[in-house]
Amino acid sequence: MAEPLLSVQDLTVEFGRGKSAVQAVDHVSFEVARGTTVGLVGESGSGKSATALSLLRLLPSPPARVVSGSAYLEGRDLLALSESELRKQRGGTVGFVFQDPLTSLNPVMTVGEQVAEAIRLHTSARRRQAWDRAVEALDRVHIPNAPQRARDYPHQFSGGMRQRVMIAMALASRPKLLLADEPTTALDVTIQAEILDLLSELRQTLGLAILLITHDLGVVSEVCQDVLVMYAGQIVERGPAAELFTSPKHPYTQGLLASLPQVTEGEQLRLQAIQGAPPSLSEPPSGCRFHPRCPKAFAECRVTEPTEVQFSSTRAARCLLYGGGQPEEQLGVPETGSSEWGRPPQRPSMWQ
Amino acid sequence: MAGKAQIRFGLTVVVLMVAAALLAPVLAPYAYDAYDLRPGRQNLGPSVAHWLGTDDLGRDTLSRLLMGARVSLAVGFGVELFDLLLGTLLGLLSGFYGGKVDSLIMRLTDVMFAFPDLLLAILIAGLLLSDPARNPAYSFLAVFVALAVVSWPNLARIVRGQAMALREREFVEAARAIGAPNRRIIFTHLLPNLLGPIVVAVTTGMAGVILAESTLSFLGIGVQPPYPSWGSMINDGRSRLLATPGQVFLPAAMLALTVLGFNFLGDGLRDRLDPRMRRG
Repeated sequence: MAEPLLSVQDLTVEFGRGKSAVQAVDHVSFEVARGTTVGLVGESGSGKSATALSLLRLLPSPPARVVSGSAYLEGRDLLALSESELRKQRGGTVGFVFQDPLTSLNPVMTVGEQVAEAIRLHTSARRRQAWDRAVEALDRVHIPNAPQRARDYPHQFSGGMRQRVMIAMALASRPKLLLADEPTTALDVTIQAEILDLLSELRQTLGLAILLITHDLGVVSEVCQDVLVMYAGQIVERGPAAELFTSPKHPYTQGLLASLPQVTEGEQLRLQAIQGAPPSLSEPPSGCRFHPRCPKAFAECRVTEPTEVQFSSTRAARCLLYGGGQPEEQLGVPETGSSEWGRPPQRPSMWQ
Repeated sequence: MAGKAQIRFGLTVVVLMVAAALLAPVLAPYAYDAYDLRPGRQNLGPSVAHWLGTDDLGRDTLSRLLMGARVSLAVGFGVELFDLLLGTLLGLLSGFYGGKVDSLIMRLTDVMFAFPDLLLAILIAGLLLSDPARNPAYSFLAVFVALAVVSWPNLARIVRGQAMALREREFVEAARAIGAPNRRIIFTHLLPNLLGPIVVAVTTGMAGVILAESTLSFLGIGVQPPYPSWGSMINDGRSRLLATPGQVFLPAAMLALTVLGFNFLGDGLRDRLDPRMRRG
């Protein structure tokens, strides 16, 4: 495989200091190849947004602090750059799209001005040139009648259109990498699909690499080539989307997939939920962080922190089931066979 | 529609007062300091020659009222311009950066708020005017300094509070994410969003400053004679309140009308500029 565009190694982000410090991101490593979309999936508070924001030092600091790690983008370590060098990367080589397009645009500037600002910050373009390029950028994200619409204010746009504006802003300076933090969460489903289509199209036409942060597995399955699953600040499973969805390794991933609502004929099914709640990061569980909720947990899970087990060059999971000792004692849950998540094997699923 | 009527009233009064202030030398039938000590020319009632009568030095009351508008508004605009620059800047820095910058600036405003405004202004004006040999024009500077020193913290507080709230808004984060430096975020993203509250604060602030200037002048430590101020005119007329009530009531009415005008305009603008009411 060619050298990845973005290579994050051992990234650790803490909130607070001393005893009360919370590790929101715990030794996270991953790569994003040129022209691919990588999905970063997890529950609220799993550290997925903190991971992305910390790459551009956009987390409020204090309390947030990058404790260790490196993030090489085309040979430059983003985490080691000075503030002014980093500013050139923000919106320059790395674009960022936020979750809520309703609040991410300045209400008193026209959208054209805002896109033009992103251009002028990174090029020597004059006002007029920047405006023309802003209109082009708006046109590229399929905003109808862009030359006129550029003069409108954000409140004159619908949610989906505003997210298109945000994407135009993020892409205005032709970045190589787009960090998209739940770009479709605030939008309704049909608009979601349009925005995802747009992202896929831009990835292909511009050769853009995208790190897509989401808690929506449906979104991941639609647009991502690779998937990273985060739980309590750690990446617990990684792999190509197709493999990960058809044969999830980590019990957490299995639980997530089983918890998706399924359309079946006849019988009424209860939604399968993962028991319990995500752990508090200020007092993470001992051993494996998922063990209090894991139907396959055994004694060792309580004491040994699992390391990542590689299944292939692209596939890995952080679970003691696959390495680091055999289960000594079962906690009332069969280790193999029909899963506690209760998915009958023949039930049709959107992943199969 | 009460808001609309309120704005209209406030705006009319303010425009009339500004016009009176600007055109005072043209409109006034006499010079504001043209005294007339000939017997029987003082404390006159209304007449064709002197529409609003004369004061105890035989000066034309109408001319002095018009000139008083000029004095009051000049002090008001001067002080508010100072507040606008200093208060807005400090408020923006304080609200945007937070932390130590904020603590420093806010402790400064706390100290200022700890003194009763008027007492501090009286103290400063009294100190600056302690040398009676000075040119009376110098008293404008003294009043300006006294009122500017006590009035900026109010605007700084308002701007700081709004800037703190705005700083947390996502569009500020989004601006940072496209690589905008702090200076740019403060002046092109925060400031334009704050114009509404600032305009309202400055407009209502005008009313306060005009009132304070008149208070200082009433106490004799404001604008010095021969320059007329509504405050000093009220004080001059006080001793003959029953004999020539106009000399107290006319400047008092001008003062009340002006303060009311600015307050109405400020309140009306507050309603109009409220972002929750601005749609479409």
